[in-house]
Amino acid sequence: MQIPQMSPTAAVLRVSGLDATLHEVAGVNWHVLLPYTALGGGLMVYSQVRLLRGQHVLKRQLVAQPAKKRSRRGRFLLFRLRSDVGVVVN
Amino acid sequence: MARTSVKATSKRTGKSRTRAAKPRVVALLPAHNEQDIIETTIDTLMDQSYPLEYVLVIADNCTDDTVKIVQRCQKKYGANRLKLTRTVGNKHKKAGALNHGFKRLRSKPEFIFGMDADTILDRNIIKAGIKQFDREPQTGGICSAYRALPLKEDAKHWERFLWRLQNIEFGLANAWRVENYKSARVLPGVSVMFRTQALKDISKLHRGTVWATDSLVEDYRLTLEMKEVGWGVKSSLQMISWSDVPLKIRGKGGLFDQRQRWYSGTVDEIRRKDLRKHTHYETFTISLLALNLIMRALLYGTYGLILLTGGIIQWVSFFLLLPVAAAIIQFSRWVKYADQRDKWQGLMTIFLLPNELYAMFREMVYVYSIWLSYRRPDRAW
Repeated sequence: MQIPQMSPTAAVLRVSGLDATLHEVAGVNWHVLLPYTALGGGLMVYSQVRLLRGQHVLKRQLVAQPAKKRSRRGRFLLFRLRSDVGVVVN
Repeated sequence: MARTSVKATSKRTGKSRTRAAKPRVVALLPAHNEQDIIETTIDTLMDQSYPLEYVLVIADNCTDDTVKIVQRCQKKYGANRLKLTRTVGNKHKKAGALNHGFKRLRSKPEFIFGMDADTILDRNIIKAGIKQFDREPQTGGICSAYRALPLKEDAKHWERFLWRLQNIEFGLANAWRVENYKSARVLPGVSVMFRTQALKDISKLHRGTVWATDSLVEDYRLTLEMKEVGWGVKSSLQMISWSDVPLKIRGKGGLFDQRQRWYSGTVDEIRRKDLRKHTHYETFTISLLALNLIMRALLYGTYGLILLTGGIIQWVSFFLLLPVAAAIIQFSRWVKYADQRDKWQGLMTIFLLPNELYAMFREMVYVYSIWLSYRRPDRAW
């Protein structure tokens, strides 16, 4: 078995925030830290957007499609198929 | 479309018609000394809401009572529904056992379900897989969402702590799967469903066998090869399984042993030239993990230095908004995608630190695994 690693974006975003405190607590020049912090922040937003998009798409796939309005001929064909031999048509 | 056509004649019209038949599914269950759990595993397969054509247990070099237990189950379920085969001198572990089982499939099922013997399945896992295959004709393999098997009541504190860390990890990995809904990075062999045609296409790559016997992570290789031959690979949160997790760090079967095998095997595969076009994302992931490891070391080193020199860490910071946001995000993902949640896991998730240390452990194992892959290419399980 091999489970996937945790999302790299999720991993980076947590640390980037903590790393930013290096500026406050240790006086590390924020010019040094800002790119990594910005990368983490950006990835955090990117990761959340991807998750929400994934949730939306998967939900749409699972919800049954609403019945389409069928034409008269379409209704007739469907009726004939069903009444003929009772076959399940997919 | 997964359905097969069955010809029949209408009584009323006398004309021949075509009827949709249910696709057939066969489960391959490789087992190596699994006497403690094999009966439960078989029960969950037999209790599926979508009936399997049959289950083929592959007893792989068993020295315990696994075979006897399976034979007892055959009396319960019938030898037609539960078949048993044994490997002879198999040196290729799980991959060898699965290849052995694949060659012994007598019928021609449309789908094959593969799983570990120490795994418990949700009752609707096959049904959910069939539905997804039906919707996605280009998908060759779908893996399930994984959860940790519940702890035994007599588990020690340390074991509970390790179990909780892995349970959180599994939950967050499920969220990661939703992020990557278009394609799975890997189809873990713990419980996965294949379109038989996709496996046949892969078998053409290496002389009739499907699962590579020269890989430490045969499931990752299979995933890459499935992509190589043009099939899609997906994961499904509707397919759910529970798997055993290591409850110790060191020793055979421990967390370190398990992870270094997975990671070094992954690095081995990434280094293969013929499948490189499918491993770019993994390479990117490893680069980010290396960056993380450096930053973590820098962070904790600085904090340690400040504390040792009598300094005070000033927690009030505009920058702290980011870790707070990260903690909230992680907590919300854990709530939505993990099961068997308890207050301790909640605290571990919201305060980040235990999970941070666990992530650091995994990253260090990854670095060690990279070294292993280059320095000891002839490693085995």
